[in-house]
Amino acid sequence: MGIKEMFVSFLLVGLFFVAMVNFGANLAIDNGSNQTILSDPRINATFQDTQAELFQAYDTSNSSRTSFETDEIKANSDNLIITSIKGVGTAIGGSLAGIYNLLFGVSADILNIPAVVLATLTAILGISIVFFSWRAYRAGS
Amino acid sequence: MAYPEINEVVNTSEGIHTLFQYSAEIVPIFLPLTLFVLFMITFVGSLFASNRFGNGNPAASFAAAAYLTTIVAFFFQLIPDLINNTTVIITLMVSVLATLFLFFGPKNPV
Repeated sequence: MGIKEMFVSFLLVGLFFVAMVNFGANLAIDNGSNQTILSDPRINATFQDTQAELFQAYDTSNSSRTSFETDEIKANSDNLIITSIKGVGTAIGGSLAGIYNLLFGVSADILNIPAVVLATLTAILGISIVFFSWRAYRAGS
Repeated sequence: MAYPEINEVVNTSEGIHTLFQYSAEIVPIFLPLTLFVLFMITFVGSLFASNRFGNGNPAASFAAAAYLTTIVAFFFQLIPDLINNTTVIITLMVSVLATLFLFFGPKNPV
């Protein structure tokens, strides 16, 4: 299993945990129960930490993608070719991000998609763009 | 008397949930054991049923059983004093472990 798959899997497991706890809490609220699963301090603390980590992954992925695209590639004789490939990678990454914003940015408010879900998807997209661009630099395809 | 009888402590006019609360109070292990039995039945049943058709996947069966058990535990938690928070946490952690195993376990079905 590659590092990208491992990263995506861990993110999705964290998102799954947040979703399960949210389901339990909403089930209790919708049925008028006076105690929810978030009343337990252990689950509450773990839930808040996991949410914070997912948002942190989103921030890190965004900043990593930005710094990857602005990094200057230093090489001896192949500088022009590598710069061109880097431009292609940046352009494709930018168009992917644009389509993603078009799909999810507009519909997130309408569909009431929670922020943590969007943050996780954006983190996965950001890291995927970085790995895709890096593969383009290394292998040229 | 070893334990209080149901007609001494339970006012069933409050609702049927009082019967479950009574059983949970007298035998605290009863409902966690029920959840475990539900898990085992779902896991083993799903695994052997899918094996019969040649596409058995232990990780998927384990995950399905864990998710079902966690959802039932959430329903049990709606009734006050029915189930321990520790039991719910354990079912939640088993679900997370099952998800991890689903992602990182062997991909080839049995």
